[in-house]
Amino acid sequence: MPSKKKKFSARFPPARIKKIMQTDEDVGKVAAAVPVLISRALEKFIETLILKTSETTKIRNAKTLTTSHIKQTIHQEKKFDFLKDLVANVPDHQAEDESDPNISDTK
Amino acid sequence: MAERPEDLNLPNAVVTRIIKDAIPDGVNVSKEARLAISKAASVFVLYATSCSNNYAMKAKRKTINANDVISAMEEMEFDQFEDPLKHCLEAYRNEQKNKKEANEKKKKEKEVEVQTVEDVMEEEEDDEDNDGDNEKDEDFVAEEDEDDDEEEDEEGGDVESVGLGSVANDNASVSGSATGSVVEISDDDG
Repeated sequence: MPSKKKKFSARFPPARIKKIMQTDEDVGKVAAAVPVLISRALEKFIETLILKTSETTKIRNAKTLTTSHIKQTIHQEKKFDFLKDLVANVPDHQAEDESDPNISDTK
Repeated sequence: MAERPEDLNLPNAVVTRIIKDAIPDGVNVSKEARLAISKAASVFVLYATSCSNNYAMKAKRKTINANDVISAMEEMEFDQFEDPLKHCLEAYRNEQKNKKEANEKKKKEKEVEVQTVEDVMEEEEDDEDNDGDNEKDEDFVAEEDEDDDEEEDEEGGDVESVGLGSVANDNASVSGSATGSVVEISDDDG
């Protein structure tokens, strides 16, 4: 059965997006359409990140996409430079089990 | 920035759904990877916000608008997002327009409805005991109490029990105002 990729069905809550935006002190008001656009951009962004990362996953012959694959992708693409700090603590190579003690929330 | 990006996470369900749709068949995603993607998404929002805000400030505006966001994508090297975003914006504007029109239509319909109900209520107001005439039989009973000598006693019981209403109708026709100040009783004596 061909799985139908659902587009436009996964939207982020505009209020939450606006909240995140307003953690930036320089940000004043935000037009109503903006969180909607950001939501769509987020969708495309996650898609792009996953697609590119899954290429790394395949090259490494892995069945599971891990944080180290993400880290590699981030370092390979200039447009993902802004994510470098996020994955700084991630090891370059990981085992494929779910219990990974290396990723911690406290940074 | 005092707030850390991790503090403001986007809903996991939505992130998971997008990941599921994007991932090629046969590939799984680890829990940690999902979390990392979620955090990356939050960071993306902040980065996009900052860029968009710069465009707004350049134009001496205090409000970030849709075009600022689209321009920001170009700056962030995500030009491929420009078209989907433009479509998204158009769809949103149409949605808002339709919502507004639907609301205005609803409002108008409600106004007419209220008026109709009010009219009907006014008519029903006078016929409180639903016996077809606009007189209250309570008032009739009150008057009857005053004229004890003249009362009809067809039922053989106390006329005060006439309050039931139906007997009163058999006895008399009532004319006058419903306020009950003056009620004329004419008896149809059988």
